[in-house]
Amino acid sequence: MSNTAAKAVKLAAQDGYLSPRVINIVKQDLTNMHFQTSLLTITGTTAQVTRGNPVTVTVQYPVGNLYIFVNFFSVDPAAMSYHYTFNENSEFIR
Amino acid sequence: MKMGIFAIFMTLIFIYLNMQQVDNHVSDEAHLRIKNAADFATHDAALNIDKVQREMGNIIFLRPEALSSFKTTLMKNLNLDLGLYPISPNLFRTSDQMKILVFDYIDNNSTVCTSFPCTYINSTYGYIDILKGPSIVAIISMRHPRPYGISIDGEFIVGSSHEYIP
Repeated sequence: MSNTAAKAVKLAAQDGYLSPRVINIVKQDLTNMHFQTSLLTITGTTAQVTRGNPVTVTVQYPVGNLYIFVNFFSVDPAAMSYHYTFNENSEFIR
Repeated sequence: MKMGIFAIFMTLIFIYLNMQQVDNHVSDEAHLRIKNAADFATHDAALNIDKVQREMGNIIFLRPEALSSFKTTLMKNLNLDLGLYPISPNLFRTSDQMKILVFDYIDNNSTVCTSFPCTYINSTYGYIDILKGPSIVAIISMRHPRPYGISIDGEFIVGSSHEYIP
């Protein structure tokens, strides 16, 4: 997922923001690796930025079941997620 | 009695293998993060060129802006402060500074490469790359985060180069 997020940032830097094309590529890559697209969260810069300004992409996926006695004795901490955030400068010229 | 001694030995072996496994995993993750951060940082540094010179057909990097972009992107991706020390919480120790060992501007003013494609060789750190156009080359180093102290107490030396994107 880390490699896919890095690739997503590089593509988003070409477009200047987190475009639908990049989101589709990320979803396609991760679906091929047997991730569930419905649980995947991809956020980032939504407004197009010109060359030299930062673009952020965050890819998140919830951690699966690691323990068997969840919430058995008392309330356990909230479920965490794998998250990768990368920043790069945009190279988009209008 | 025999099973007791056996159990103790197996526990020690298990603890050692577990420590080695964690060290290995952290080492892989740390190297991947540094490499990704270095790649993004050289990409950002390579965007800073002198527009006046570009109109005349020369690609010259703006020295202070390129280094500043490089450092800013490194800081954002690896969560470092202005002195390039990691901010806690972090995979790396807050006392280990990220060092920029080499930061080369291979542009039309450079003496290292006069024509492209050019083979850039840094024999001190063993970095070789074939550059097809004006680029920024950077080599950074960071001390290994050793959670259990089994790995070698060394440094990751990671090189990255990125060409100017027209």
